[in-house]
Order: sequence, then C-alpha cells, then structure tokens
Amino acid sequence: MARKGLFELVFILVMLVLMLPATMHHSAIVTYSAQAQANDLLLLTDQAIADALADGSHSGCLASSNQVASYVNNLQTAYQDIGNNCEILVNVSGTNPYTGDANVTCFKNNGDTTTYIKKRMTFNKTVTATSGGGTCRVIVIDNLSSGANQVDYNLST
Amino acid sequence: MKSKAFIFSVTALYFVMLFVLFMGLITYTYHNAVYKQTTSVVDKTASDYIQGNDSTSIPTNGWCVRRIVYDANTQSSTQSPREIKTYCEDYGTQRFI
Repeated sequence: MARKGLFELVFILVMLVLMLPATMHHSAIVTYSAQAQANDLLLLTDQAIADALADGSHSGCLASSNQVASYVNNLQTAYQDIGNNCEILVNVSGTNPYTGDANVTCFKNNGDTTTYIKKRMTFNKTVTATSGGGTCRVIVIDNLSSGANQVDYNLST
Repeated sequence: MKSKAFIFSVTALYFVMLFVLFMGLITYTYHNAVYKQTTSVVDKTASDYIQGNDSTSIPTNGWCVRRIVYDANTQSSTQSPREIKTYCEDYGTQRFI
C-alpha cells in the first residue's frame, strides 16, 4: 500500500520534465520581419552580384567575376550596420554565363524569441563587354528574368 | 462488480489519454510562434519600400521602416552606393507591410 500513487507521481514528473525545454526556448519560430529581412537581402545580393559582374568586367573590358566577393561583403557590412544580423555566402560557378547560388542566413533575437532563417537563391547572368572608341560597354543580363538587363552602361576605360 | 482487468484497462486508457494531452501541449508550446509581427517598425526591414519623404525623425505615435536601396545600374564602374532609406508615418495611417 506504500506504493499507492507512485506510478501517478512518476508519470506526472516525467511529463513535467518533458515540458521543461518547451518553457525555456522555442524552436520553429518564424517572425515576419526576419523573413522579410532574408528575402530583402537576397534581392539586394542579386543586385550586388550584377553590379560586381559589370564593374569587374569593365576593368579590362573582359567578362570577370573577380569583384563578386568584395561587393557582397560590402553589402553584408552595410546590412549589418543598420541592425540586421545576417550573413551572405555566394558561390559563383562556371564562366560566362555566370551561375551559382547565394545563401542568406539571418539571426534575430527579440527577448525570449530567437529566429534563425536561412534562404537560398540561384542566379544565372550573362555579361557582354564590348570595347570601342575609348569606352567599354557592359551589359549584364539576368537570364532568370526573361533576359532582363540589370546593368547597361558605356563608360570610358 | 467490475473485474480487475476492466479497471486496469480503463486506468491504462486514462493514462494514455493524459500522455497524449501532455504531448499535445508540449508540441503546441514548443512549435507555436510566440511573437508574430505584422508591421515593420524601426530597426526591422520591410518587404516593400514605400516611397516616402525619407524622414528620419521618428514620430511620437508612429513607426518607421528602414531599408537599404541598391541599384546595380548606376553609371559608375565602382560599387553602387548602399543607400539607407527611412520612411516614417503616424499610426493614424497604419500600413501593413
């Protein structure tokens, strides 16, 4: 008779222990603002990649992707400076057209709520660099947006 | 008089029900978002930039959005500026972004 209620006691204790982590932190929490940050930064990254391909190709008037890492890093720094804890990782593969992917990871902490979001975007861009008359015309075409021109300028070399 | 087997079955069923109840509560608490934000305020980034007056003063009863604007097609062979645009307005004309 001394063990009467022992099972119930153990059962309740086990359940309470199982609930403990749920009160300490939350997983799978997605806030709108964090999602917006990641989406926004991906679009900005796409612009930075196009900008880097254009400017890198203008130097020497030859298609090049050597500026991508630097430009993306500058964008990441600017984004972090306004209070967003996000990181960008860009992989460029292939030569003209340049393909690859951009991975954005955003971390957000609002009091007890921690949000961690990772998003990936692919890109496919063609660069044409044409020299003539002391200038170099650079066009960067986004092949994923029905061949839209992201950059089109003609500047002196 | 009910048999011991019947009582044992009902008791077992009761604890199974309790177990399911607890697991449901744990799952709900663990996976349910506790902070849902539908408007973007200052230091948050909006998904859309509303063309505004670039005001940087935060109104007493208002909210602001801050975004980086990046135009790759600037006529320059150096990196385009990462412009920070801030737009503020009163709660009186709430906008959900």
